[in-house]
Amino acid sequence: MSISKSFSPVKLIILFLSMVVLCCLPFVVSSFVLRIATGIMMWIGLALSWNMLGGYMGYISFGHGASFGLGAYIAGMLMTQLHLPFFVSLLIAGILTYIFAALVGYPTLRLSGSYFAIGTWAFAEMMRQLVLVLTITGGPEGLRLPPMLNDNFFYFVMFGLALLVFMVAYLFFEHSDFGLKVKAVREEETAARTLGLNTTWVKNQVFALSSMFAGIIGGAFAYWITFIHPDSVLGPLIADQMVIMVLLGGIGTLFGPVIGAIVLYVGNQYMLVMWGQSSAYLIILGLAICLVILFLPEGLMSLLRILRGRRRGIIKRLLPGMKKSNI
Amino acid sequence: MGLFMQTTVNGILIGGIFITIAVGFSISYGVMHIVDFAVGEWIMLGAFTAFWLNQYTKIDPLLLIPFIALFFALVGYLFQPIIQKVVNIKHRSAAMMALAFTFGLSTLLRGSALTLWGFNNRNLVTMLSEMNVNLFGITVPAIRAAATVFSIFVTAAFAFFLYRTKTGITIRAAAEDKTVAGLMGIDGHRISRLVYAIYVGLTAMSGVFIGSIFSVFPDMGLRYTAFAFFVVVAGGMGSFSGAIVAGLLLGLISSFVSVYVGGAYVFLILFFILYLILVFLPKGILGKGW
Amino acid sequence: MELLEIKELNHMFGGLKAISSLNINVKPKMIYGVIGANGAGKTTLFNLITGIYQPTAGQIFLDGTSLVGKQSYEISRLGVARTFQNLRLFNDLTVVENIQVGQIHRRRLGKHKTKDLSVKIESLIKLFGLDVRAEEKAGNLPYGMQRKLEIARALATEPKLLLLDEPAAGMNPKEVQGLVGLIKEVKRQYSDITIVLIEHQMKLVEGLCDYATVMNFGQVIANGTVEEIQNNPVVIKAYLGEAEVG
Repeated sequence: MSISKSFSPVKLIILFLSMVVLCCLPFVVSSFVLRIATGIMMWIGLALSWNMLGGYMGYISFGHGASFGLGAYIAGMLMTQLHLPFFVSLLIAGILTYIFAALVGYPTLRLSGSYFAIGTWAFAEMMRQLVLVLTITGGPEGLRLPPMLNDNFFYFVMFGLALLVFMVAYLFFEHSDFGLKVKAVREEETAARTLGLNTTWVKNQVFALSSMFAGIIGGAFAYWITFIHPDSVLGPLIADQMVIMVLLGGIGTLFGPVIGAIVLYVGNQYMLVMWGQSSAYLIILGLAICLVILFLPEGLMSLLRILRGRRRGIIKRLLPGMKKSNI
Repeated sequence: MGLFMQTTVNGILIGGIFITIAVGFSISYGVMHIVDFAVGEWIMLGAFTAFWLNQYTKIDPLLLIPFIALFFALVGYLFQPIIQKVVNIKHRSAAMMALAFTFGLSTLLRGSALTLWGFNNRNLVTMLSEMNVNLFGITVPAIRAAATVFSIFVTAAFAFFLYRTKTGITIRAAAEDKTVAGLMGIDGHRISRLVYAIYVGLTAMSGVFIGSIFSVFPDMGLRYTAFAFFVVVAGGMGSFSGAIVAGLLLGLISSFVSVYVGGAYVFLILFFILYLILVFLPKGILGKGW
Repeated sequence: MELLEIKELNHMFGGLKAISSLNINVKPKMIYGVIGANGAGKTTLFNLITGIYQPTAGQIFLDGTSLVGKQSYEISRLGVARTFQNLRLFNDLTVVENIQVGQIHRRRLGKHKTKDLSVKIESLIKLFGLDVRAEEKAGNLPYGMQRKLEIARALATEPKLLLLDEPAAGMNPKEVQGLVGLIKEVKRQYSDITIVLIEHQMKLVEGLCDYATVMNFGQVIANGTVEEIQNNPVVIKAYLGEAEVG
């Protein structure tokens, strides 16, 4: 369970080097590539936040886009109407999304399985409809934020957020009692309760926490993109993409959502460049979901595991006397 | 008073169509335990098939209904093994994977329709499109009345099939308890395939009516997925009588909200009620679901 | 003073009486058997004690504290742990992690050092013969080991009262023998623990229990030492007779 066990020196060096590369990125690549990198960071953060709820806890949500949109709107409104600075707005957006999700989570988490999926989906659609008719959000006109044209700034913001969500997933969900509790809820909720876990509290925390991260990232997105509309930040596509990124990479794993986000986002941008804004993306997206579920239900991570397993198998054959625990 | 009556009758007439969809959806959920996010897409495809066939053959869409129902039943029958494969995946949450699969399927179908046919609205013109009938002193479009009558007829036939024929009873047994049904020598796979075929056929067929009452466009599926979920959840998953009550309720709510509150609020209120029912009445308003 | 005291407990499912006017007293450090055919209401009784169901009427006390109206996790923290008739393990977690989940709330009380706790896990794993597969996922264990793991996990919560729901279900006679030895060993190592076990195999009860209650259709039909019960004509008629035929 300890950190040293899962991070060998080699891995630490790789980690350090990749951090250095990622920090230097803005100064070596074109602004086009940088914008794609920013988008990748954003989606890594979102996929990881969805994975907290859907992967570690097993509550598949089709409404996580609502938290993203909520954060985007809160931050946007604070910046345009109260003229608060960006980071303050972001912080408030995070806190408010957390509180909102904790309140909504209480009734919603009484549902499980398919009912939870439908419930979150219905709630998210309701939010979109609500924002469409409200006047303070700009309704169907959308909301325009003060423009800020600094690609480097947004790269570092998204990078920082992705890193933050990653660290939370790593520390709290992979390597702590809390993570164990969350997984216990996923595996057997009743048993977890009879072992002294207040599962209602655990579920609510995970729901609120994962929503909060989506909300903060939504706030950053609003400032980056400068124009938000109910259909762009609250539309079903946001949640769809989070779900497929996690499924594609490997649900309930730490690196799965990261890999899924990179592959899907790069694929999306490639299509955008080749074909322009096209509904064909939906075909690819839908097809990707179906194919991954049919042929790779554990995601791309399972491919890596198979490869690694083969390597181990080879080592085992070479060194038959070697103890299992040494490998 | 005239407006009130008009709204009520309209509501009931719209609700009638959703009953057919809900009944098929409900029984397919009962047997396969999959919530199908693609339900609205089958409606969309049914409507588009009628539209294109009508364009090329000039046969009235209403006369195409039997063909469309059979064609999509065949599509469902051929497609079901793929869904079954997903359900059988050895995964800790196979049911969730199946749900996500239908979600993907829905995205795929919607994307394909958008790419092929664009965002435009199309009208499905039938022989009844220009006609009105007088119902209890209220003038209603003939197509709506026809759709409702037809839906009631189909639903009744389906109910008869489920409750009075041997195959129907087998289906209900499988919906009640698959393990027991399996022990009694019922071939679960064959039943699932049959039920899925019926469900897809019924849903696509309803699409023809929906398309001719409203309009046909690739994005229409989302709305009807919402409607189908509403009816099935409000009625209680797998409850026949619940689906009927909920279908009518849905029709009335959407009709009254759009007349008295405003069209922009219909979905807001429907999703809100759907959410409330899910959370507080998970067995449906009649308490008869699973 | 009784450790577990159940007074006039009633539970209805819809219109069906699953438990009716049930009274049971369990003294500390006992191994207590609850015997009855399928559908006699034994598992319902456990579900009521552990707060999975709330009783329609009646009272349940642990060490004088009422358990009625409390949540499952609160009851667990008061010192009640259980196993399930149809195994409810965390299948995707390893053996060690399963036991760790049982320890979590103990850990939070802060009375124990992390080191002591890992020592405890190790001793539990050894006691139950799970040490060779400690890092394996629970779902991949053979059935007999899964049953043992569930008991180990329950013990990790350091309960005063351990409820075992048909611990021998699905085991062959040899495995049952091993289980009897194991429960005796648990009792020896955790001398303060009180165990209530549900069984329909008289053999297991004979070899283990100090005292037993026989249930039939949600009611107690007999109470007493195992010997008394075996000679009770009502019991023989209602239950044991059938068992011998079967």
